[in-house]
Amino acid sequence: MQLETEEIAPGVTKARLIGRLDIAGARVIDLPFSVLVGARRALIVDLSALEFIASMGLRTLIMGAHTVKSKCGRMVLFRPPAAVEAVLVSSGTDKVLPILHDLDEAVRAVSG
Amino acid sequence: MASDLPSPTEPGPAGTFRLRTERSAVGLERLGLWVDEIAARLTLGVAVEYALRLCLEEAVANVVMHGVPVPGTDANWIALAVEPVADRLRLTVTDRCAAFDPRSAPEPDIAGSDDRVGGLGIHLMRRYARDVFYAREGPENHLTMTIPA
Repeated sequence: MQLETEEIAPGVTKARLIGRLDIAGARVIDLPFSVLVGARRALIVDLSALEFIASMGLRTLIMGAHTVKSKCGRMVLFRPPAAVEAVLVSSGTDKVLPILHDLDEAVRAVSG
Repeated sequence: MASDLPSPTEPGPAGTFRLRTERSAVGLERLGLWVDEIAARLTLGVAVEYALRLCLEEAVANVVMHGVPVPGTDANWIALAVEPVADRLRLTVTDRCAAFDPRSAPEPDIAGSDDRVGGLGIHLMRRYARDVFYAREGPENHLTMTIPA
């Protein structure tokens, strides 16, 4: 499991999750992701290279959303593969974290 | 204390995949590799492999993280079986922790302000699996479910 970040617009960070966000994957990225959400106000989480997500991975994302929201920031999910998106919807995660497939729209959504 | 759960090499019905793994993070890693092997051997489609991995990981993770050992009983192992049956995969998860019926768990509330997020795994398992049954037999929890293949 890998986490890559880049600044794609002024004040807007895109964090790319790569691999399987299962329990082992969540254990690897929990700390760096917590640091990231604690420091950013406009965050796009790119899921396009995410092969799998289970409940511990959802928990990582949801807790991140709560952290960003508590600091009056915005966080969205970007372009999950179909199987991953199905889990996000089945779990209701999309109710607290918008899922977007267009990058310009994602940038606007987090930029406010 | 020796476990009464089946060993990894114990023969089962033809075509049944069996694994006995540790009730620990190591066991979860072993589970992931086992699912890789099953998916390759049965040439499972992406959606079926996803559902299989999800349901097994959630069931085993629940036992690893929340299972309560019973004094005098070896609860260090979890036994798993995956059996192709007609157009389904039948999954069985057996552990020796205290009795717990996952079907009784409340629905998660992820939108709440509380930072605790619980119950998601069981919720997903119920959404992806069919015919989820639980039975307590002696010192063992038996959870069975099926996935359309």
